[in-house]
Amino acid sequence: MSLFRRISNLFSRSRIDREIETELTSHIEMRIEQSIAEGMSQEAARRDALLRFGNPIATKERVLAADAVLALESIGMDMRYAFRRLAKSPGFAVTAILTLALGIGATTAIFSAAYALLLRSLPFQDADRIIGIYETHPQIVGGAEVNFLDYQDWRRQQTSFEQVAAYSGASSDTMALVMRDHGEQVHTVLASSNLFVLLGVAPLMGRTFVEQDDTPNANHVVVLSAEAWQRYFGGDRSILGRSITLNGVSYTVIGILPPGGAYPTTGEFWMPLSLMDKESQTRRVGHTLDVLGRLKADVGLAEARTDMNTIAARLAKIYPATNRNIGVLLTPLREQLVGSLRPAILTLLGCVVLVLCIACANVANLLLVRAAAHVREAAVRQALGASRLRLFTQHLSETLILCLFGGLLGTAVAALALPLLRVAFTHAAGADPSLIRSIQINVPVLLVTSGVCLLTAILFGLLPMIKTSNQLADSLRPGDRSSTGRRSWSRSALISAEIAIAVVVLFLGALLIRSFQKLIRVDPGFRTDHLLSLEITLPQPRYQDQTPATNHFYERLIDKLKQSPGIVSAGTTIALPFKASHAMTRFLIAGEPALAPGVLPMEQIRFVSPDFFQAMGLQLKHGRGFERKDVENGSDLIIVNQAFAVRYLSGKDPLTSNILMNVLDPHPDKVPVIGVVSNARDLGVETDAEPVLYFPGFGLHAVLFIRTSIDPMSILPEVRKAVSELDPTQPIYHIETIDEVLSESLARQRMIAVLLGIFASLALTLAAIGIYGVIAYSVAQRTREIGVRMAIGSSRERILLLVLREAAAFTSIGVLAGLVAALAGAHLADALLFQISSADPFSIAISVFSLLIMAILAAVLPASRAATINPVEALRSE
Amino acid sequence: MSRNDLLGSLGFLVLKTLSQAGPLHGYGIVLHIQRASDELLSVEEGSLYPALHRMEQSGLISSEWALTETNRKAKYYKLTAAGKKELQDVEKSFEQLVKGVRAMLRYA
Repeated sequence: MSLFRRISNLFSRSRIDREIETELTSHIEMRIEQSIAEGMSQEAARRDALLRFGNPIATKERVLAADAVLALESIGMDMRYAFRRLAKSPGFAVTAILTLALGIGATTAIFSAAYALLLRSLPFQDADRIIGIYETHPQIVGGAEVNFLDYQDWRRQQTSFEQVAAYSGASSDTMALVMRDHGEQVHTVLASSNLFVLLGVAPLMGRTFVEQDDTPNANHVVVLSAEAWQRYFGGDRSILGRSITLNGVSYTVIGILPPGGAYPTTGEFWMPLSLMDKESQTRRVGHTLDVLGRLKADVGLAEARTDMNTIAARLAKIYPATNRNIGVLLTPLREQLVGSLRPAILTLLGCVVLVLCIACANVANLLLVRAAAHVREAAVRQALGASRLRLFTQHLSETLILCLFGGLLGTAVAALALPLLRVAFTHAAGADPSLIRSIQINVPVLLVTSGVCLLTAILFGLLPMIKTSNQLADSLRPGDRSSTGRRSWSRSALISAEIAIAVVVLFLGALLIRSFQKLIRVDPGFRTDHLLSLEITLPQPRYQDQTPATNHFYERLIDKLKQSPGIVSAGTTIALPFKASHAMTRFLIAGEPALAPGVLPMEQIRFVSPDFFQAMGLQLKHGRGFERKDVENGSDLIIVNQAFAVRYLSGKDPLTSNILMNVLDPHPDKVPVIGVVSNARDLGVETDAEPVLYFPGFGLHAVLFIRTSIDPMSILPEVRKAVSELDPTQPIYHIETIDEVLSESLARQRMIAVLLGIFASLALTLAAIGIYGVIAYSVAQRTREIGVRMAIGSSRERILLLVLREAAAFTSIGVLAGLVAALAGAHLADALLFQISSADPFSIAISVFSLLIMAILAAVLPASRAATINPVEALRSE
Repeated sequence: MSRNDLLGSLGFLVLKTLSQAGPLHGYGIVLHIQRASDELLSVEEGSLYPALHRMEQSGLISSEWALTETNRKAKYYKLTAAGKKELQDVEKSFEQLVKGVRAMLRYA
């Protein structure tokens, strides 16, 4: 019965297996019994029975394959077998799994960001139909906020949108919320009554606005965001219907929004748009509104553009003074939220996919090597009756296990990396915080990840299979262990491709790191260290823009601060540096015509305190600075920066020039220029200094700059004390050092540079591992050849060269291909580069050299081992 | 004859056997086919089982474990309703094939 025992041993313990075994065994037993009954000897009967039955092992396999349930069972068996085989070569398994984990982890992390920011639908009903509508102006790049009257006309005349809604909610729009014992500066948004309808946002509690709320003499009502409700009122339900005091005026709370439910998501207290100041509602000059439209179901974006352009042209005809050059720009909401991040995300995604390709190529190489080593085993198994399909599934299950573990570990890597990534994206200003929060590993991300794993497994399981199946028949011939290792074109091609991809990733990494270096070396025009900034908004109606009370508050505050030993100087302005600002004004140089008929120049405007230039660190180049009496007298004086003088006052004495302000009025004001200050890269270090017009004065809202001689954050208690001495309920907010502001303004570039740096080093490491693997395997295969060569007199140096030549061949092909690809594709990253060409020779050199050095290191190690082979041992080893 | 046809005929023979002789185990089916075909048809006995399992998977036959006359545990197969219908169809098309082939032979 030994044969049956042997068969039984092959069978696993599963019930279904046992049943098949019993069925087949009982058949054979019955045949034997009958033959014995017919007079055969026991021995002859058994031989006859087996002969008639055919190969029992093969039969059992075919029965297994016939049965869907059993097929699963056989996969289980293959898995166990694959596990055992992998456990036997832990070095291979660990290398492969770690390689895959890094590739898959990085891809999963970046893909989850891309998914959240670019693919996933926004949290609003039919968000794809929500369009941001802007006004354009020849002097403003991109779209700008909209004038109230223009918005009203659009709303009445348009035919493309179901709804057109507006809100006024720049991040500087704040009001003082009076709490029992202190004040809080809260972010307020003025919204048209249909904004929530347009977004499809239903209130969590209470109601949102109705038409009547948004009429001039309506009761004052306010809707709270869920976050503000928690933060300021601890989620107290009884707040509904109660009154709260904002800037000294009471508002009735009518509703609470759902968490993260409205846009803009930074809005805390929402009020009807009719509360906007009367001047903005009656003049076609100020531009403060953000306008959204929901496209009708049967209207496309192009039709809507035509519609809106027609209206803009009509308005330009009716109101030429204000609207002659105002166009309309339509941008889908998603573009508006993440459009500026798209090139960065796509570049990162591209690079990370390339890294994944390198990882996969590495694993494929490992598998090829392994398959080659196991050709004989496979051939033996096939000779014993294993079908090709069976061999394939066994091979595939090994790859699957590798990819499964690689995938699991990779997902863990991604989960660890995501919080860092979220922080990076949060600082990389431009994307909405609610979208950043939605960067997480979720079902679609996992689906894509597992899809990638499966694809990898099947592709790379298949490759070695196809490769080796042709060799199966040959491999059993005696003396097959040839003394010259066959060159494997597929391995060389794989490793060349891997090197080419690594060159591309290295090149991109080098470009962006160099670009970032250039960026941080830019001189912003003033010293950013030892400079603290914070914001103050004085409550109306006690204070108004440029009234004695307001001037007095700030002057006293600055005086108090200057007495503190750590503070050198303090001054106010209206906007933080390194941030885009739409605080702009139209003007004309007195005595000069407009740029073109009807086109008025338009530049940045700042209201500053007399001490501002000193606090910020701008030098006065000509004329004089502002003085206290300029502010107090309310005198109209202008200081311009050098960029302004160069662009508008060249060839003139700036100090005798006059500038016409309020140029749209019939009687513009003629304002003298009294000084010129040095430039600052106010709008961001990437952009050259823009022309700026400085006026003396204090507004309700001020950004306070404090130049210190000690750590700027350490003077904060004194600042708080000084403010509360003037008004104990007056809040200060947005407290940051200018170094932080600068660093945040570069966060996106830093994030890309750091991530690409990481990807580049990953690519380099993986490529080195790949090169090492290929050369080491080749040396192992050619041991006998090398022995023979040495025996007939080849020197060790020649052996070393022999091996290195092989490495040099595929490395040079890879590097060349990589360079071509990199140079062809790098212009795609142009949008991300600062003061650097996408064919930067230094970046090319550094990526090629780092790869060559890595390649040499990776090849020399196994090559030197080859050179130290003892020919006697090498030849004896067969 | 190609391999697929052989499997097809094997399936046909199995169905016919089970309809003539009632529930049988695999060995019984082999014996029946040999006996009923006057030893003209013989199958490689092992290859019967993948066919049986495949047919069971497609619902043409069902199986249960029972004891043989010699008290041995064996798996007995019997026709299902679907199997009976399939057998009728196959018989019909087989007869047509035979008729067609005869006609061809006469023509020649």
